[in-house]
Amino acid sequence: MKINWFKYAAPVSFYSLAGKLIPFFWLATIVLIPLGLYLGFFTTPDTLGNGMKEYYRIIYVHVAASWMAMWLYAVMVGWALIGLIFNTRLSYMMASATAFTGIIMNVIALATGAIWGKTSWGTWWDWDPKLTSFLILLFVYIGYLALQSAIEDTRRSDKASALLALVGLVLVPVIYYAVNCPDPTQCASLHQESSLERVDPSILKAMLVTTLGFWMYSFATILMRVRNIILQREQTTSWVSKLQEINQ
Amino acid sequence: MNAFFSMGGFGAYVWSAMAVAAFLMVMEPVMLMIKRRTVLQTIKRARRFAERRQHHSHKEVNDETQK
Repeated sequence: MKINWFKYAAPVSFYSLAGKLIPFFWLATIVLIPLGLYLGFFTTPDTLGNGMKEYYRIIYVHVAASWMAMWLYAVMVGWALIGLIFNTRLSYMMASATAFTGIIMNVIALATGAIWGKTSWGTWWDWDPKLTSFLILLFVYIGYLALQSAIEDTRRSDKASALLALVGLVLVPVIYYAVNCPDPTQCASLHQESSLERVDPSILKAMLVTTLGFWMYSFATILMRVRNIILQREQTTSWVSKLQEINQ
Repeated sequence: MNAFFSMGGFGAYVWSAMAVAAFLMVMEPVMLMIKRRTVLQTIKRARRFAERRQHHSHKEVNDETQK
């Protein structure tokens, strides 16, 4: 069987496919996130093992959002790269749709991290390598969207912002190594290392379920946004004017 | 139940962190739905405008042929 991989690269077919997928992603979101939080609040010990008391429960949203902010950046760059290589319009639209959800995740990570920092370090913010590089990641996300809206010609703005996203990719390993420092004597990091292997399995399970829920949430919002972008960019085409939602 | 909400004295921190995340993750889809509605309205309005203009220009042509 020959599969036409480029069929859904056409905005017209992707628009309807996305519309069909969105409800399933929302369903998965509203099942997985509450389930993860339930597991996290009711089936886990009251301390994190390293002396952190009950405030460690912020971990469920903090870690999930931080992971998403980094992964979504990689996803965004992936779409931008596909766009640059194959020159497919939809890939650029996907990259652009991913950026804003990445920003939401980044802001959640920073805000919940600040609240956690206040309890465990006694300060809302510190210019620690991890925190600083995460803040820069937020600025790169914002810069990407700002550059895109600053250039009026869509083709140019797509290409220019895709290049910016590509350059910003260097930040992801920087953030990773800022936490998982290869040589601890060389890094003065306040943010603790990610020590998943030392965490109680019940906490880890709750964290993974919540993170999966965050993935589903990201898919749902990205697809909703890409549908808006497709409509805006293709509004003069005949397939848009034949859409049911336009004619009712 | 009270012990659950107090989170060993850290309730304010834990629940405000959850509230920030919940607020943003409810606002984002709501904004997206509002955006969708405005985009659809803009397209509909542009279409109505184009139809009216087309209709209008047809009429003008007819008027001229009758002269």
